[in-house]
Amino acid sequence: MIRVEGLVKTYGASKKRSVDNLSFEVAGGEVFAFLGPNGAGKSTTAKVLTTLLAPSAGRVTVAGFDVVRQSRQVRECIGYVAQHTGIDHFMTGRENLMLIGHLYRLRGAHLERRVDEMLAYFGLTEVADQMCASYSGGMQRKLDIATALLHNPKVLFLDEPTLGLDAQSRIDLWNYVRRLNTDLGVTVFLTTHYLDEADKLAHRVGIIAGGVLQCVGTPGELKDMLKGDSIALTFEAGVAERARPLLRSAPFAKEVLDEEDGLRIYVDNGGETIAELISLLAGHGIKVKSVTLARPTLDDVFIKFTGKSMDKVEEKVKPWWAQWAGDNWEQVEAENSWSGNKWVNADGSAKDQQAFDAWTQAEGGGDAAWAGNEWVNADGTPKDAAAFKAWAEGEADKQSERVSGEAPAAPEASADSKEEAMSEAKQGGSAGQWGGGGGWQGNEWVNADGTPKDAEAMKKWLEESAAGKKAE
Amino acid sequence: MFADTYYLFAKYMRITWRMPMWTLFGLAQPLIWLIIFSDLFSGMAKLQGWPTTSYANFFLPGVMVMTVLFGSAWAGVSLLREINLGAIDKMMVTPIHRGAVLLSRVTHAAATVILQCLVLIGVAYVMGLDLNGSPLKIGAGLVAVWTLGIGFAALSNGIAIVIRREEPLVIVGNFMTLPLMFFSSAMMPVIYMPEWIQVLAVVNPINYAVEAARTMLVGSGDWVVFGKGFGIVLAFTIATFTWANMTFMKSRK
Repeated sequence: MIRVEGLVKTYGASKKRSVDNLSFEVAGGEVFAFLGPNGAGKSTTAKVLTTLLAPSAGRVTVAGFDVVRQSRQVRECIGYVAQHTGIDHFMTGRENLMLIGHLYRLRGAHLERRVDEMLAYFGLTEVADQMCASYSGGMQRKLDIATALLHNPKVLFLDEPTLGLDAQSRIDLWNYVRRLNTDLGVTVFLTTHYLDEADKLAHRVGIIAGGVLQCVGTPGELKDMLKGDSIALTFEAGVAERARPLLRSAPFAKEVLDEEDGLRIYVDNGGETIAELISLLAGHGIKVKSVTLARPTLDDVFIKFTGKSMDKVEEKVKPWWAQWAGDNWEQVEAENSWSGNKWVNADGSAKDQQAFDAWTQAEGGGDAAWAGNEWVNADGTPKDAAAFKAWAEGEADKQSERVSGEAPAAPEASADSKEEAMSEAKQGGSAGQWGGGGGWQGNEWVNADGTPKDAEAMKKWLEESAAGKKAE
Repeated sequence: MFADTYYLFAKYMRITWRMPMWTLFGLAQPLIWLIIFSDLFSGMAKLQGWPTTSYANFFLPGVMVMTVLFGSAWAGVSLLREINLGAIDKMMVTPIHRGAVLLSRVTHAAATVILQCLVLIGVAYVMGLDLNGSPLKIGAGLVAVWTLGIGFAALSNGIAIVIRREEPLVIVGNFMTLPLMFFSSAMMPVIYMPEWIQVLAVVNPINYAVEAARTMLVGSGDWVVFGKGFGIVLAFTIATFTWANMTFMKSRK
């Protein structure tokens, strides 16, 4: 349905490549998502595909028509919903639909019937004759999609369809997109920077960063490329360098990636490995600041291909005055921006390392002040390795029980609740830190020593929260 | 193309109709000018060779053209707003004729000004001005004014696309309108002007619009004078619209 070959789009005199050598195909009846951070080239691609922008190089066909030479035919068989809703606030919903219908060359009774159908389909019949200014964000977005569907398009383009919507409206909109695809057979091309949106809606996902397509596949395929769970570790400054070779040579680690304040390790079974991992590091006197265990998400895929987490790649948006500063705006901004404080320069380097060290020593004895957390002593040795391992394994068992007991949607949900359980354990950890180690009495679920207070109740709670997620 | 233009034109008119306050505000200003200036300069009609019986009679077409200038010079501001809102993208993604987007905008901008001019004529009649009796001639005068309005709205839209920001657009609009007014016979017959302004008036399209409207509304109703003035205004409008539309299409590459 969509075929893109070697698409390049440059902007302005600088010939900066917003999209570089893009090639992919979307089959008829598919929901295809373009996932990437802001400024990655998603909207540019959508605009080229919808004939709003002309490609600088490459060949693009939609429904068999060339977007440059047969732009009119392309326009007749596509619908496009832009990031900003293009509906007119001073007209009613019905008037907006009638206008766009006229522009699609629909006339008379046929147009009126289509308008009524669309209003009913999106549940807007009651407000059809109210001014759009009184519509909620979700209603405006639905009306916007309705205008794009009046002429029964073969392909629907959605550019960041849920940007700025509240959680309920998002889920509502997702359901509509799914129904459009299954009931009406519309091919959907959507761009998003929400990982869950791509994960839950799309049959296939293309990950784009810096104008380059990094990979394409089903969400499952992309996650399987990572093979297993990921464990994110954070350390105090400089410690990661010591931990890295150790983890690289560890038998359980499939891959070790650098992150901004720590390391990310890919393993087969996160629950079992985590205890092993901690004791390995502790055995070498390496202190861990925090541990997070996660089933692979599309963000992990993104990290794998770009080396960075998605929210850290957001492209710098030009300030409004950039047009007067010309190409020097970054420099101008740097000159006017924060120039560092007493200890640190603007670039993050220490002004005077010795003075800084002396100050931290004087303030709190530096690192030595830390008394360790629930699991790990200040020197990095585990407080009670056996208890920790038992708890982690029990947790993993519980998960697998539930996985086997529940229907296909369960693995995802259970992974989520597992994360929740982990983060709760982590909260417990920090409470212990502040409570001076012994003072913490545990939380609702876990005792201070890490054993579950009421295994049955906890299991029930986990299942409830998983069921809640499933119901969504 | 004309069907697309019609539907968009109807949309803009409907929105204007829902906010009649703004059109009324726009109307108050030329009415005030017509009343104040007519009184203030009433003595000028006694000058030797003055073309009309009263200054008010002379000034009526001038104040109409002023309304056109002030009314349509801001047309570009709403184009920028529509671009930012995504409304233009929404039109461009349909099979709409490409020229209809701007054409509907400029004809609408000029049409709201014509509504104001109709009220002006009504007030002029009440004030006892010496209007031409023939509705055909009054209509022809309004067509000339309307055409000029389209030309200026197109110019404003084109400049808006080039500079892309509202504030400088307002400055350019201000810079443009007042001198063009004074370099035309809107307020003063050409014969009383200093020579250098007479030269400028020759190349000022507004001057021709004023002449064409004046002969039809309050003058001799000479079709030859009208034809010459209207022809030049029409050429100006076609030129500015073509330029604006080319700029618009180029900006969407």
